[in-house]
Order: sequence, then C-alpha cells, then structure tokens
Amino acid sequence: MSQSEETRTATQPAGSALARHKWILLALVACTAVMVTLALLPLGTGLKVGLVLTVAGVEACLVAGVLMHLVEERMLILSILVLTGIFFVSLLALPILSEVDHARHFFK
Amino acid sequence: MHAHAASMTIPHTVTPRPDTGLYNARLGIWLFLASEVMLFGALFSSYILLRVGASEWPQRQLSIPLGTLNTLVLILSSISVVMAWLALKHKEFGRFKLWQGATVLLALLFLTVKAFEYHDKFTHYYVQTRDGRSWTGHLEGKPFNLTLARLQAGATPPTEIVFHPDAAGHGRTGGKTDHAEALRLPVSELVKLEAFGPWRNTFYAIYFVLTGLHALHVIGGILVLGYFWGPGSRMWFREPERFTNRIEVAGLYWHFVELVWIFLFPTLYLL
Repeated sequence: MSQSEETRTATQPAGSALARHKWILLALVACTAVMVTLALLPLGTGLKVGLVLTVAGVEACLVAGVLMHLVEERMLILSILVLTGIFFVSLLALPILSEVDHARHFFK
Repeated sequence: MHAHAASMTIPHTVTPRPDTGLYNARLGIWLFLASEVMLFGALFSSYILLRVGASEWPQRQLSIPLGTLNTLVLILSSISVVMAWLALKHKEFGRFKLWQGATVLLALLFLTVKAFEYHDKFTHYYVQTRDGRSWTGHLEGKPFNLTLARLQAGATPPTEIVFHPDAAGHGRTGGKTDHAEALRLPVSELVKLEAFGPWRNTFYAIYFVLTGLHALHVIGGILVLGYFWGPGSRMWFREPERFTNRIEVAGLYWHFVELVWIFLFPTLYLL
C-alpha cells in the first residue's frame, strides 16, 4: 500500500472501511455467481471458456487491485509485477507455440 | 563485538528504505509472490498443454456446489484478513484478534471441504472385468484407496465384491448419490480396481497436483496467520507498527492464495 493510501486508511473511520469492504465482498460473490451460471448455461465451449475466464479475470483484478492495493502501489512493485507478467504470459504462450509448430510440420 | 551484535537491529522493518520507498518485508513479499506466479504459471501452462493435446477431456468431474462453497469461504477470508489489518491501523487489538481468528477458521473450513472432496475421490472406484465390462461407483463399506493387489493380499481375501455402480452424473463429488442395483462381482473376474486418485487419468493428475500445491499454501497461511493470532501477537505491545506491517505482509500472501483459487475453480470445476 502506498503512503497516501496508508494515511487515508489510518484516518478512515472503521465503519466506513467496513462498508467499503462489504461492497467488495458483494462484487466478488457476484462474480462467482456469474461464473457458475455461465458454466451451467448451454453455450459453445469456446464462448463459455472465454466468458468464464473473463469473469475470473475481473474477480482477480478486484482482489489484486483493491484488496492488495495494487491500484495505489509504488512504481517499483508495479515494475516487478509487469516483468513477472511478461514471463507469465510467455509461459502460457508456450503450449500455443508448440501447437503452431505441430501445425507447421503437419502442413509441410 | 558480541555486545555490538546484540544491540544491532534490523533496519527498515517499519520505516521505508530511502532507495525503494518501501519497508523491507513489503518488497520481499512482492518478490516472493512474483516467484509464486511463475510456479503456478508453469503448472497452468502444463494444464493448457495437456488439455489442448488431449483427444477428449473429462468434464464436470468435480462438485460445483463444493467448489463454489470453497470459493466463497476464501473470499470471506480475504475480506476478514484486510479487516484484521485495518483493526490494527485503528489501534483496535481486540477487533484484530476477532478478524484474524475468523480468517484462520475460514482457512480451516476450506481445508475441511477439500479433505472431504479428496476422500470422496479415493472412495470412488473404477472396476473392469475380464469380459471387458466396466463401471464406476462405490464399493460396499466405502473402503479408502483399495486396489486389486491389496484386495487379494489380505489374510482371507474375499471371493467377491459388492459394487454399487453410479447412476447418472457419475464421478462427481456430491453429485447424484443414487446408485443402480448393487452388483456382486467375483474377485477372480476383476482385471482392474482403482480409486479416482491422481493415477486415474491426466485430469486427476493435474487436479491433485494443482489443488494439492494450493492446499499446501493454505496450510502455510494457517501456520503464519495462526502464529500472528496467537503467540506472535505479543509483538503488538512492544512494536505495534512492526506488527501491523507483518499482518499486512501476511495478508498479501493470503490474497495471493485466493487469487490462485479464483483461476483453479473455473478451470478445474466449471470448464
């Protein structure tokens, strides 16, 4: 949490912090409910995967951004996370690259 | 020299370092979490590779109600861990104890549900006979992780087993519990008898690895959060700011545990 956020939190009345977190709790529960509902709907596999993972992404952003205070975090931390993100995406892209490679050999 | 060492204190446990603008533990936890992202990232990458490469992938093998329950439990614990830290910020130690205790209890509830799910898988069986017929279901008495070799190795091995095949929605934890008519299968006719453990297929292998590793993180969280709730909380009376920072760092770790579950739940239970 940044210094400004810390100061804000320290001066915020306990009641208002509780109310704020109640809204976050509701948003997270709503995201979970939407994910489960989408998974149970008779949708195409590709569409279902896309929609469910998008909602999971929103839920993750809420946790990381608000509860972990990333939205107001220092640049140093954000830089570390961006670098991690680049490696993470590369890691996830490996299977796709492998599939592309298979396809290239198949059509050769 | 010893006297000097004894009087030394670790710098920047409360005040920010001039170069990073952060106290040490906060930078440390974010570096640790970055390495954790890569650990789980590698496993998620393996999952994608295995799933994309599989000709068919088992779906809906797990109980959605139980998975949803555990998601809600972790969401609640994520809120309570923030409330515990906020209580310390407002110098309310009593409220901190309450919220931190709630977090530990919720984490224990998560593990209890997970243990129930695991137990259900290890008492659910696949059976195949010599004539090629096969069923999934439960054995009479619900034995834990029985195999054909173990069944035959007993002092007085049974000559037959009583098997309750699944009706519909087989394989799901907490799914339909009604069974088709019980079968009496001679042990000599069996060629395969195995529980739904990690060896069952690729899905169960990746399911147990991912959720097992996540459960280990939950156990680690319980130990840390529990320590700060119990004996570790004495630090509050000596160094309140340092203790508050410790709770913040532990909270960041706990949020990460929830973040991982947010992706595990849809990929393993829903899709």
